[in-house]
Amino acid sequence: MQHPIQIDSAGGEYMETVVVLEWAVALGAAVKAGDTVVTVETAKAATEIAAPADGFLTEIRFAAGQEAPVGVVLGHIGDSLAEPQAAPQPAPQAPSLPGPQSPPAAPQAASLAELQKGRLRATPLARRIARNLSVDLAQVAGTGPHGRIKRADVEAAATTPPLAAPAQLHRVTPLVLIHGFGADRASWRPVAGLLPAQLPLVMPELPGHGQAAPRPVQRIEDLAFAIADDLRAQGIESAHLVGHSLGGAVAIALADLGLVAARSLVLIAPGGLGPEANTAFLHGLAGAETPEALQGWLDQMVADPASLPAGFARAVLRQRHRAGNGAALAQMAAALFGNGVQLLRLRQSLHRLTMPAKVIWGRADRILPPSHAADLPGHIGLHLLDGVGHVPQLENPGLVARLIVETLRAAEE
Amino acid sequence: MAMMRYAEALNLALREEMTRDPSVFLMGEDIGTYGGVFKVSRGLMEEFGEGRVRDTPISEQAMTAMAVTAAMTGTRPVLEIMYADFLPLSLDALINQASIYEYIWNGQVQMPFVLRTQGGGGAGAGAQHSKALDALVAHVPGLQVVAPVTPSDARGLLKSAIRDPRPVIFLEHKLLYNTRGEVDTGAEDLVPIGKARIARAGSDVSILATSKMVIEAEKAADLLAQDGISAEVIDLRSLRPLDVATIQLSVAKTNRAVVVNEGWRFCGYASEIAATIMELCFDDLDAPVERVTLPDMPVPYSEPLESAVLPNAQKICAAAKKTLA
Repeated sequence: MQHPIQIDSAGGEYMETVVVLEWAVALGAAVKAGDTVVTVETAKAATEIAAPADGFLTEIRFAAGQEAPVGVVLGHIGDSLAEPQAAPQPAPQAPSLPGPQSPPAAPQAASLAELQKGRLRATPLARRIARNLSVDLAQVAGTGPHGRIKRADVEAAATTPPLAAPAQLHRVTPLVLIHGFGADRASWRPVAGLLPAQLPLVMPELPGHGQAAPRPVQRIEDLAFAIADDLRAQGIESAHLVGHSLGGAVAIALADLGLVAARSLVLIAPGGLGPEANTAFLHGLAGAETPEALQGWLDQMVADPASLPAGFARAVLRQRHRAGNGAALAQMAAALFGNGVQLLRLRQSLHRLTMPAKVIWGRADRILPPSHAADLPGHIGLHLLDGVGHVPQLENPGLVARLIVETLRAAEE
Repeated sequence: MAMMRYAEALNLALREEMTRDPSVFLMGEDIGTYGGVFKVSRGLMEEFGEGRVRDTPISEQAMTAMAVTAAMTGTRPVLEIMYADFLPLSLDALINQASIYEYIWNGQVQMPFVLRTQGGGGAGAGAQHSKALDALVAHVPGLQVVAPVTPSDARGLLKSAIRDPRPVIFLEHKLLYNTRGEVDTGAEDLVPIGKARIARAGSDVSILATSKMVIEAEKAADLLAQDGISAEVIDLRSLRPLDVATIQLSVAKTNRAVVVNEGWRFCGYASEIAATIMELCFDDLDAPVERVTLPDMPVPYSEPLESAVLPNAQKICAAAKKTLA
């Protein structure tokens, strides 16, 4: 039997060959297993290779001074001298070496200016906000260094022109959008700009919010009656209803009480569907006196604070200080969300409302938990939005506008 | 052109420059009689004599101070520090002497001094013999730092380093000495300090790597190509001064960057490159710059653990895909 003499991967992963320095045993001489039979040079040092078995050195394939690929057979030890040698293998070619041989690099033909030509300059923040507000950056003029588009540029581009005063008569069924607690009609601005231009939009304000006069509120129905009065004054008897948060609860009550003929219903993170609510937030929102204090609460409202327009906190405070709205808010919060629970219960109403309806909820909502949308009646569609908090119409207005239009179409057909 | 090993290419550069300039001489541990632990100086003592190939005692601090002083007094020492892990012992001579004397003496002193050393893991050499301390020397103004990966660049850059009037730290890698490649052998085939090399052109993501990591980056580019991703591999070659023009052109083309360095992550060399890209290429970026480095930990002796922590082609590939996600 012939025992091969080999050296494996000495000297690390890039060691491909060794140089045979010296055979310690003459061809044909006896060796004992474990004795040094040959010394080779590796990357760092001379390495002695021991005989793998007792026997005689029957073959030397690489003489002293020769280079041998790692892993090849350097020679053989036979059990006896008479034994025929192992069939000679073809001499191994030195492997073609991988590694850092530089392939000719493609010439850098283009200059920096050429490579950058046509590239949009916008901060990552501006890009993200543009995505959220569905603003086409190519249409935005940047005011930053080198024309870089900044957050403020995107927000300026996103602002839609002031909405026209609602007409007295609506031949087309109008879309009524009801804002949430502590907000006002301006909160619909991002989504309003994305709705079909021919669609009449009506954005009533809850008592004590925006321009609407405060009035005492004990129950959700009080809010529904207030909105119904407003709609009736505008000659609206039939409408597509959209409501956000507390406004969602109002929309349910409006429809369920028959105060308006609701053709369709879109409820965005609506109140009234479960007991839990982040009442610390609601009371904080109602009580905050400075933009800084308010900002902390507003940051909780959305998944990504960057999606709040600049100056949002200041604008909220401005409208609140108008005509004693602050006191009205505090009273409303106590009446509707006292003791840490939502005191309005509208889940049963949903079973009675059979018009096309959708519920939209952000999975990252920290104000009203999206778990409230479990066990909706089967005819109501549910859209849970990833990476969105309590204000989907601000955080993803494009999608919210699309879902509103889909619901409306389903009702019109 | 000739096919040769990295160690042979360095040996050739030393021989050529010692022949060309009699003021060039070598110092280091075991570089004379033994020929250097990685055989880089093999045969040079026989050829040039003990006066120009000097075996020194084991004291990196003394050796480096001696070499710096020799450089100040008109010779061109090439000092070998056996393992980059022992660079900390040389730092006083580098930071408080070699790098600042020209400034302190208002240009009256020149410092034509080369410090050759090798670092990096992958050889099972343990936590005291496997580090890549590139950041430690690249941090120092007044020092130039190069790290060639091809044998041709090893020769060309070593010749440039020896001829340069200012200090050069020449970083090798223990796993590169046996790699082979075509070497430009013209006596004046020098590779300039401060110029990166485009190892592979691509259009989707720029991978900027140093030393042995260039090989891993090229392997990663092969893997990425299988997924239809065209990666451009930049071999920085010169860690300081940095070839920012080549980096800018590449990032402007691909809009994405991955930086690969075998050193630690925190305050590491890769961090410097990532910050530079952020400053210079902000408007060209479509994704945050990714870093692929050794984690902030000692290099393990255990082979499976060592290969788990070292940066490699798979990790580079994953980082590149992250920039494209």
